[in-house]
Parts: sequence; C-alpha cells; structure tokens
Amino acid sequence: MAGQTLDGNGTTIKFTTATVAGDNITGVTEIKIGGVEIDKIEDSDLSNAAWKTYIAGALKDAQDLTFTVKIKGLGDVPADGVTTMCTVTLPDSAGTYVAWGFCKRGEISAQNNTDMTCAITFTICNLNDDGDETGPVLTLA
Amino acid sequence: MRLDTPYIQRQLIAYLKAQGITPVFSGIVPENQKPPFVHLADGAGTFVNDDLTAMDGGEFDWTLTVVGKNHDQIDALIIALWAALNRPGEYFDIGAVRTCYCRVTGDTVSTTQEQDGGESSLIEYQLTVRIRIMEE
Repeated sequence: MAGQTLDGNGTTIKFTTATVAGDNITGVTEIKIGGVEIDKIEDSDLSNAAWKTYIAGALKDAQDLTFTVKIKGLGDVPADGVTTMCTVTLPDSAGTYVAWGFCKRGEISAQNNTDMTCAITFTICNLNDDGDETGPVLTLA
Repeated sequence: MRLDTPYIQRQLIAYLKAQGITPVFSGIVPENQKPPFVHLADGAGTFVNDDLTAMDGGEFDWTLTVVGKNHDQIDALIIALWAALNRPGEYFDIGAVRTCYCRVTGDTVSTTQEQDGGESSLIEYQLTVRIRIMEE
C-alpha cells in the first residue's frame, strides 16, 4: 500500500442499525470524513521563557461526515435524526471508517444540465443504539 | 444501458423519423437527392462520471443541417426540428433511451452554390443540439 495512489472512485457508504443492515447508498458523488478535534489547553506560566505551551484536552470530538447524493438515491438515506452506524469503505480494500451518528438533510441543488443532488451531514454522536459510548474507528489496510 | 454514441445516434434518427422529420441522412447524402432534406453529422459523447460507484450517463452533441433551395422550402423542417429537439424542462424518450435534457444550443444559416459555376443556390441551416442521457 505504501506510496500507492488511491482514487476516490469506488468508495461506498452505508448505514446500519441493530436491526437493519443497510445497502450501499447509490448515487453518491462525494464523501468527506471529518477529522478529530482536541482542545488545546494552555499550561504556560511564569517559568516559560519564550513560548506558550499547551496540553491536549482529554476528550476527543469527531467532526461531521458529509456526503453528496444524487436526488434518486436520497430515499435510501436514513431519516433525519435517527441514530445509525455509518460505514465508509475505501476502494481497493484500503480501509474502513465506522462511526455512530445521525443524518441531517441539507440543501438540494437543482441546476440546469447538471444532476440534482442533496448535501447530507452525518453528525457523529459517539453513542450506539444501546446508548453506549462508541467512538469512530478508522482502519487502514 | 448502452451509452455509446453510435447507438444513441441511431435512437435519435428513429426519434426524428417518428416526429415526421424526413428524409434524414446520417452518412453521405446521395448526389441525386433533391432538397429539402436533413443531414445529421456524426455526433460526439462526453460521459459524466461524478458518481463514486456507477456510470452516470453522457452528454451528446450533434450538428444537423437542413438543406433547401430557398428559405420557404426549409421552413417547415426547421420548425419541426426545433419542436422535436428544443424541449426545456421535459423528460422524454428518444428512441429507446430517455433524455433529461434536450436543447438546441446554436444555429447558423449560409448560402452556397448548388454546383460549382452553377446559377442556382442552396440554403443550409445548421443547428447544434445537446442531449443528456442519464442512467436510471
């Protein structure tokens, strides 16, 4: 894998719950996996000579996952606000990203001579459908 | 679904004939063909590949030329071609494929001699059209 170019072509996304194993959403044109945010806490004091120093906060915050889906695939996206497990599978068996959260439908774009699409935000809540803390897992091959 | 340009071109010819637009030639026009007639030049397809896991469809551009002895002779064909190919906001079948976008994108008119050194002229009305066909 090292050094290999990986095109986004072939990336899939699906949503599952404890009872429903979802299929890959069709008509997805773009997926963006959010990063991790960690607060930086300043710990500099009078002993610091030249630079402010910081420590990392103990709790991590996973940022939203966003994706764009063509209007015909929109019906397969889970209802807004319903907690589901999202699985993004990278192409060529490069890895997966699994996170719990809920969808929010965003703006629908209708432009001349262009596919109609809807922007979806998947807010990561880090709680599975049993209410247990479950953080996102990015696994790279 | 087939999206290659020759296949879509055949669907377009069938569609034009079904609309009563005839004769339509897609290759070389016979020398003894009397005007008016329509000539469909070979088209070109550009494929849309935005989808991460499937082929979206294609956009196809064609140039059609209406040839006649004078403007009166080609007027009915021009009206029929515009009615058939400039359909903003409509989704409809072109032969065996369904289009979600079919519009005239430009036109020109020119006058040429019917034959070198001849005294009669021909009017050529050229029309470009864009057809978008998406996977269902």
